[in-house]
Amino acid sequence: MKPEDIEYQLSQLLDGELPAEQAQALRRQLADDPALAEEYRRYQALEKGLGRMARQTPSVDWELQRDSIRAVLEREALLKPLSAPWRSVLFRWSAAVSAAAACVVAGLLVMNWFVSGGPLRGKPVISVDFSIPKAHAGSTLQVAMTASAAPAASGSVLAVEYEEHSADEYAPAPAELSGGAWAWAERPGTVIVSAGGASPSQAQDPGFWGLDEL
Amino acid sequence: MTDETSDRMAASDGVLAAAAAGGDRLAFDALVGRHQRRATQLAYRLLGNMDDALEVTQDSFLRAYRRLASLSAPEKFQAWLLRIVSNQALNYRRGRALRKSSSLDAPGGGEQEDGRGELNLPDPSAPAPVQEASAKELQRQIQSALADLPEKQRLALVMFSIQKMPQKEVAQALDMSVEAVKWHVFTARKKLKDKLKDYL
Repeated sequence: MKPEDIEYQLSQLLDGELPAEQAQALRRQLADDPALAEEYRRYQALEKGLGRMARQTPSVDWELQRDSIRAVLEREALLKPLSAPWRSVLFRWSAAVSAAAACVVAGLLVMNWFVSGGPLRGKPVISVDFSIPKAHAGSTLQVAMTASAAPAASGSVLAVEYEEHSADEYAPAPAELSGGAWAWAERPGTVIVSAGGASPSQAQDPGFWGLDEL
Repeated sequence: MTDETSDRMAASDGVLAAAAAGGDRLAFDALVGRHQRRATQLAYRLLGNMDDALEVTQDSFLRAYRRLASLSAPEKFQAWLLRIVSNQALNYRRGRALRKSSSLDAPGGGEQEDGRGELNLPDPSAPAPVQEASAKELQRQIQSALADLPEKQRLALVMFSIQKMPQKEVAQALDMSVEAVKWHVFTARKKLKDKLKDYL
């Protein structure tokens, strides 16, 4: 038997796990071999020292520890997100309310902007007549717009054609409107209308409209 | 004590863990009360510092609560918790320089293994004063040597020889066979015996 095997048996003897027959044989061997007996004594001393360590744990206020765990969980429960159905309902409501509020605010801003002339005071301004069909890939759209010189009354109606391209071959081609306004599609499905400049890059941008929204 | 509270105290770990997974925080609180001592003592033995051990234990319980839904066998809550404590303690050791340990000779410290007492109760096998000093020195040396053991050996020895956990529970907590636990305990003992031969 290898020395390590004997030591493993000593460890098992220490734990009372060696089968009776093997334990008896090992005890006989211990009685006959002082060096082996000394090894076993060391194992016993070590185990006793380990066992004593359990008694040396510093005092702990167990109730305080329990309270602090409880407090964290309660705090987390207060912050816990609502369950999915409620979240969904609230999300839909908040989205609807937000959209409505945004429309109102945008409407007021646009109205104020047109009434005051905004940055385009005294310059040609474009408003859009939302009378265009839904966009379809490859289709040619007729975009009807109304050109006006704010704050003067609105005037002539003109038509702008723009062809919707696929995303890959798309190349915006601004169309010049009457009164120094420009209209172009920035990406398929949108129309941007600018006014008040000699070129599209200089023009003020009254806004853009996704064709799906129109 | 209310009937509800006594029901929880009598309930098995499996029942409590399943209830806690369903959001019953009182059930989880009962689990904390039941396992906090063993979890804290394990963390303390792995870290050698009670402040760190308390932090790790609290983190472990919180982590356990958040992950209860992933516990496939609620009746094995203790083993699962101790595995979390072990991993957290080992991560803690790796991640931060430990504060100087003041635990082993902390004044007034000490309690029984089951943690019920706050006093340093007399050990029936306590040695005489002269031997007491050498016994404390031995424990200091053991604590130091434990830190140098490979993780699995240290965990197995701490749980089995210090925490006095049955080998089967150690095996569950460490996710290994009972035979592997025996081998790790033996290997750890042998290393400590050889390293501490001047103190044994």
